[in-house]
Amino acid sequence: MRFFSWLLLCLFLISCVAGCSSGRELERTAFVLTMGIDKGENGFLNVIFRVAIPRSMDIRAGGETTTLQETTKPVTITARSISEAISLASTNIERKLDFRHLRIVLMGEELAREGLVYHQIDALERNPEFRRTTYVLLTEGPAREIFLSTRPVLERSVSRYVDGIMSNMREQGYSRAITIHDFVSEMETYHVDPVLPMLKNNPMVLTEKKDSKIVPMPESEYVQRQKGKTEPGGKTTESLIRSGGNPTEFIGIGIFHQGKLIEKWSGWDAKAYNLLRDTYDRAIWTFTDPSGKFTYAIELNKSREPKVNIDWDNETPHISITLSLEGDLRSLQSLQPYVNPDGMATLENNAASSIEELIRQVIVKAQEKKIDPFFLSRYVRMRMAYIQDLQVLKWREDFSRAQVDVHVNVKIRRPGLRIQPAEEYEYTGG
Amino acid sequence: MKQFKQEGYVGGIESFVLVSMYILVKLFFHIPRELSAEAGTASWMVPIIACITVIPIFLCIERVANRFSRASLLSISGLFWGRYVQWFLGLLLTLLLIVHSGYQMRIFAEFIIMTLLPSTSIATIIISSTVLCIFLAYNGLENLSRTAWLLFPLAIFVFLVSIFLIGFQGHLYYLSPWLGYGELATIETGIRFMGLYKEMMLLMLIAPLFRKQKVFRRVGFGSLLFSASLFTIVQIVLHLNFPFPGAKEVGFPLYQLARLINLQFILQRLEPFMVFAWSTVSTVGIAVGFYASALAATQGSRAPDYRPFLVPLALLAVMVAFIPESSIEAVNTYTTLMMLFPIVFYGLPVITWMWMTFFYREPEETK
Repeated sequence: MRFFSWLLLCLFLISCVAGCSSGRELERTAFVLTMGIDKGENGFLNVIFRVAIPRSMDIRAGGETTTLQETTKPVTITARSISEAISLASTNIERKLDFRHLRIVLMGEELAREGLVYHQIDALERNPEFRRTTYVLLTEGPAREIFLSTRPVLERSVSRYVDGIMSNMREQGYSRAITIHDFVSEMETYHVDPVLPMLKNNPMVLTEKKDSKIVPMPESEYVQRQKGKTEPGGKTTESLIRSGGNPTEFIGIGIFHQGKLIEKWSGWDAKAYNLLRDTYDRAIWTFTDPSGKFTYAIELNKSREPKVNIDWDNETPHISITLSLEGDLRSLQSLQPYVNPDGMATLENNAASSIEELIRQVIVKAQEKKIDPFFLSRYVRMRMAYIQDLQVLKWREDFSRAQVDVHVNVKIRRPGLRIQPAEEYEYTGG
Repeated sequence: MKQFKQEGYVGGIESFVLVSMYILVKLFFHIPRELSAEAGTASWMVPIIACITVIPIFLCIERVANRFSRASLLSISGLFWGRYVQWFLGLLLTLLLIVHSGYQMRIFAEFIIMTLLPSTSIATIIISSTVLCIFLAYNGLENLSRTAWLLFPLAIFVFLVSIFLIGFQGHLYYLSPWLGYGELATIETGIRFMGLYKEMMLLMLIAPLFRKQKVFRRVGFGSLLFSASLFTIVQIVLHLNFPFPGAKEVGFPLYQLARLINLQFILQRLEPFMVFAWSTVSTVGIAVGFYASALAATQGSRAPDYRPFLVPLALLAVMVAFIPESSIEAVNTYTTLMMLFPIVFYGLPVITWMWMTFFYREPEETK
């Protein structure tokens, strides 16, 4: 009897270990690597999925592809929501869409302007297949346009492409790498306006696109295109002057207020933003030489946490911000012998005042719009005891009339592999 | 009683791990989110306040156990108030423990469906986990505590590494304003959440299995302090990563936290390790719940062995697990029960201690 009882129990257990009905075979799964969402007509969304073709990436399996376009396929579905688009996609894709390897979600500008981005984020948070560590970006113009025109310079793997771009964002500070988690956290936090990194197509490079390849324009045309451009790259929200490479540029940030995109800031503004938001890691800064001619460059990293002190004079906050940066000299175009204690101090002071000026400009921009994307209110809440105080605080109003003092300390630690610049003693030009 | 003759004594460290796991099952459910909803940014203080409030109750259990040479509380209540009261209390504890285990199983199954096996039927998960829990509980506390102790080092290592990595990614300013909704509100929430440690009542049933009173005392205090520390750490890490209005809406907080580990190229997608820790703690914890309910039935009815009770009670727990119509209903009811059960789980030892102190006299004292 005991033997038969055990036998019955074993037979029952076999039914449990036979496999789960949630099993997803690799051969039956279509991994979506990137996704874009645009506002469509009549209240619809245009959702574009980039589906991986794993075989084409595996050289051993005969894959000899060299571009992203050959390793993935884009599919666009018009639907009322992301979830509906996913379900409708199954009517034409032979495998089940899987989002566990999704790396990036692009939001179209129109969607953002009309305050519809927040409404799409819920699907990305709720569905367990989406990870909160997926990056979110805002496109200038329709996301689909960027989707179809992007041509990574080197990578054919979307994951490595995205990781590389995000790493560059952190290392150069022209934008800020933001995940769904970061964005949602800022959405849900009191007294901060969320931002998204911008990406856009470069019209100059787009004209070089022929048969899905980028063919650099001739020199004469390139010189012609430069005419009339006076601002350095990244200073404004205009595209860079360049030829070749990926038509897509990841530069600048878009600022949201009450759910809507209200501002687009340039790459330079993004650097200042990163410094104030404490998301700055390191970046190469190029400054006008103290002599007024030529430039010099320093690669600066954050040496200390930003020091922010907020004092209240009646209803007006006085905000004192001290930022500390240090780094290495990267170029001295003017060939002046600055590499001595006095010369270095001149370069440091000049760099510090340039950064201070840039930061003041972005602060004024924010104050005019009554927004605080820098989350300076974190220094106010750190002194608060009760949530109720935080809820009644009218920080944006207070910040808009705040007096802000910015002080930047720059220290050049190393001159690089050259001490004084090369000098031809007979040379008198420059 | 015969069942204690059949079971061996339990070791101190093993029973400490076992009681801690039983208490900590809910940490992997929705409870961090509930604490956050109730106390805001000060939610990390709630487990500490609750622990401080529960310590006197454990002292009552300890004193009563000490006076009666670690007899079980149900036997002591039989001695005080007669066998019918003992029977009634045994039945009451059994029912409460079964309802508790049933809801835990349901939430466990909902979690599995939500995260790992979206297309698997809930019945498959509940029934297979019930079979596993019966298997674990069948050989008694010795078997359970050894299993727990074997899995504990790996589970705690994985858990602490994950928590450290997530905490490292967080921001201190999300923990402010520091006192949440106010000192009084936080203290009041702490008292309401005394039920965080209600599983400590297991000690009053398994007291006869301890060799020495010193070990019994240490296990009680140790598991209370250890669980309080983990609850507190998790709440801090939750708030470092999720701003307080959002923290109360996070589906399964610890799982969500584990999914946030992202050190770019170096380390990401570590949540399977957390799932290991979570499933280990949950399975052992639910099995302990089955065992405790069977033991309460045995002690209440003065039956010789707990084993015949195990399967019928597990089936009752399965039925309870199917009562809620949705996962939200399951977690809401579980939270309500967590507030209500302590009335019995804490009330019984306190009343017993008071009776012992004020009314009970040893036979020789009354002569």
